[in-house]
Amino acid sequence: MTESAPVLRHPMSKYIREDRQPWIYCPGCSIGIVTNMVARAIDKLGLDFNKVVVVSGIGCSGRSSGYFKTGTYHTTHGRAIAFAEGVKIANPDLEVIVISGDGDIAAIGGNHLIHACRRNIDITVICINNFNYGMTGGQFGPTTEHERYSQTSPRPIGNIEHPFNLVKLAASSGSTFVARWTAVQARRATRSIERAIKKKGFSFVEIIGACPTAYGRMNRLGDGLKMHEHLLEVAEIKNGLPPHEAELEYESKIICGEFVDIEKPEYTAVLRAAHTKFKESI
Amino acid sequence: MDISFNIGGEAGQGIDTIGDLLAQIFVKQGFYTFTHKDFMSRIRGGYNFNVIRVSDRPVHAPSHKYDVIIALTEDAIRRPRDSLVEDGVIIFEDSIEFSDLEPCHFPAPLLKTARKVGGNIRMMNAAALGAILSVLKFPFHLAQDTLAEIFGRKGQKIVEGNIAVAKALFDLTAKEFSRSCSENLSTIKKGPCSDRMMITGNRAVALGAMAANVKWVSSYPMSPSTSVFQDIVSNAEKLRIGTIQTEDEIAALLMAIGASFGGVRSLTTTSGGGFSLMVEALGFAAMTETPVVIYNAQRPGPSTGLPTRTEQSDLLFSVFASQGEFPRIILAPKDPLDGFDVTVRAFNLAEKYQVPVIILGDQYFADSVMNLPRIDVSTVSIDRGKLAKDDDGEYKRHRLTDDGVSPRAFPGDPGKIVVSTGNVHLEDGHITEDPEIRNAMVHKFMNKIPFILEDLNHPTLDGTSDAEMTLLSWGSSWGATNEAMSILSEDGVSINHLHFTDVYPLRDEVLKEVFARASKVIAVEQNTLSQFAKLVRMEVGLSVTHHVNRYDGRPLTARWIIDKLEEVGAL
Repeated sequence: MTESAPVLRHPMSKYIREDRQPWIYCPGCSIGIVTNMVARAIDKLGLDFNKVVVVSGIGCSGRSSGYFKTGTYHTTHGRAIAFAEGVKIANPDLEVIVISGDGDIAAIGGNHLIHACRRNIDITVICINNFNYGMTGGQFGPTTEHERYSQTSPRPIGNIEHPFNLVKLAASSGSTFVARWTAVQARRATRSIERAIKKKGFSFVEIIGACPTAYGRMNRLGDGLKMHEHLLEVAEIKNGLPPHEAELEYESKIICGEFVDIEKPEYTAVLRAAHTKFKESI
Repeated sequence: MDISFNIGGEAGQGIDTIGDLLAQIFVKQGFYTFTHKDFMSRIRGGYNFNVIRVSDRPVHAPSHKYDVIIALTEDAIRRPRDSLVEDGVIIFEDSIEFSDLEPCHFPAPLLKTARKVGGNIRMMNAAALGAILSVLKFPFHLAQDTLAEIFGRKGQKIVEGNIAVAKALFDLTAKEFSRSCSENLSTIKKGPCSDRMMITGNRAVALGAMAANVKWVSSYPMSPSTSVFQDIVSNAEKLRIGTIQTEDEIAALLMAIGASFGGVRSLTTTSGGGFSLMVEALGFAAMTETPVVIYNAQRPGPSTGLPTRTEQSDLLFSVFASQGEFPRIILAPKDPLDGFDVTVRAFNLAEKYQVPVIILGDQYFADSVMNLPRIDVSTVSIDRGKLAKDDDGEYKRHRLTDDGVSPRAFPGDPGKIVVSTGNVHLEDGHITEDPEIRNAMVHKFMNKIPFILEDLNHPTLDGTSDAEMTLLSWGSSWGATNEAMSILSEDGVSINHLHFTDVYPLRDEVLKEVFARASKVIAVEQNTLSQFAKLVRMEVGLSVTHHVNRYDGRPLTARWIIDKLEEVGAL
């Protein structure tokens, strides 16, 4: 018998359900990187895994929750945030993290996003923005740039709509912590995710990622490696920039950093205080 | 001749291409083909396969056995092994580590040959094709012409490369693999079929909609319906069709209703989860008597269920969806050709009766490919229903009429103010709470139903009309059920097949006759609860005697139905 070389375990594998691997993600996809960021943030904060709930919606990013050894809930399309709000209000001791994609969070679930920001419920939303619906083959979505090609915005015209800037959307809807990074800025992004989780209030972290299989191919952006190299090239770090200036132009400029970190009364705390006050009054 | 191929591998490996090439070769030779795609809800990896069935008789369903398996991964070698016919062949890419070799296995250098002979690993598809044709003893020159045709537009170099790779594997297989299929096609003659158009059910729906002059499609992507939307989007510029991908399905149906109110034929496409979101708007379309067509490609539920698999479980949901009561029409095509016809009729019925029409497809219908005859679009007739004339007097959108249908006008029509509301309304479209008007408007809705019923197609009855046993099916279950009926009939069983494409409202004339004659009526459905049988009992008061239900998301086959018929004691 020959002895095979020892296989090193990934340092984050203690948080990951290895029996669910290999990942379903295509080569060159960013979702695995973001999954790692979240695992490292949880690790760094030393959270009790038993008290963490990872919630996701539908699509490629939606499959990320199932890889965590925490309590996870894979919801229906677009409803991750609404579901997560229920979890948090029912048991505010739980650390509730939503990981989902741009289509899920900002199109069909857009209404839930803005209202959760407004309510300021203490959950962390990590939106992996790869500019299209990957799982269904690459249709344009709410973050697809003008004139980009997709299955439903084919050549020669491309997308006639304009995208949301999710940082601006979350900030103006009332989110108390808003950051944006690209998938290649793993350490900075992980630190922001840590802060987002620690934040007592609604936190929104956008991670710009690559979908070489669908969006990259249809827009001739190169393979996964090339797309990630590009992200590194165009990322400009401007921490503390007013969120309305956090521009995102895929070709030339992706403003990254933490843009909002403010204090506001958090929903479940307000709810508890109101109950206490009411009880005292009778 | 009845040969089945199973081509399996990971998502993204090109199994679709091998299947398409193979099917096209047999189509060009004059045979009937049926391709079913079995795939996982993921973009890369996993285990996917295509089943291609080729016959000199029309085929509408996959077979339960495979004559030839092409495997591009280990899973694809092992998983279908038990479904291989006794003298079948499994050809697999020889770089896969697989040591449990049996006489049926042939490790073929598909990638190596593609690289060496063609200079491009993409030509592995042609290599696989060469090996398949070789074990069938299919004359290579016949395939060569087809390959030249298929690859023709890609240039001479690609054509020659693919042919050379296919030929290399064809010869190598003949030399190195002694086993061959029981089907020896060395003396193959032209088959009886002249149908050349290879399309899926979804494409047939898209073509039907475009032939019916659809001018508006608003949809949100959802498997397995999305390709209908994509097909129409791709032709939107040429045919001047307004298309929009909305933020969700609520907006999708509402925009379609808006476009219809604005004067054009409109469609939305979705699957059950999306249809769930549309339910509010469905009632709104009904209350405002705005015609609209909804295509629901069903998949197993509830919730996200099995996104890329098949089920017929949204029938009763479609019959009852929305608060309140109103007429609606539900049509369920039996195969792609029927899909074209159904879609054209859906638009005509929607406008004629000013009601929502739901087309119930499913993943099996949506993704299966058949070769069809050319569709003569000039035979399509368009009936926009009652339109307001200038001399009607004051225009009232919801004017009370004997048949319940009020002439339509559109905002902007000179001299006509078009008013409607989701509240109970007067004839002129303004809100009222008057009980008499409420009753009049309810009667107006319900008065449409007898006229709709007259306009719907009767079910089809195949086989002897006075059989002792009747198989009852609807929608895409037609193919496998009909084949099961033929097999049993040839075996001497007294059996026929009653099938509904127009499922709601329910035409019951033939149903009553069949129930009166047959001692056993068996519902064959791809759901757990025999939803159509329940509908029959609710509407007609007749109960089937046995149930055959498949709900694992996989397609029906004739053999599966026959086995189940035995299991439930119907045979």
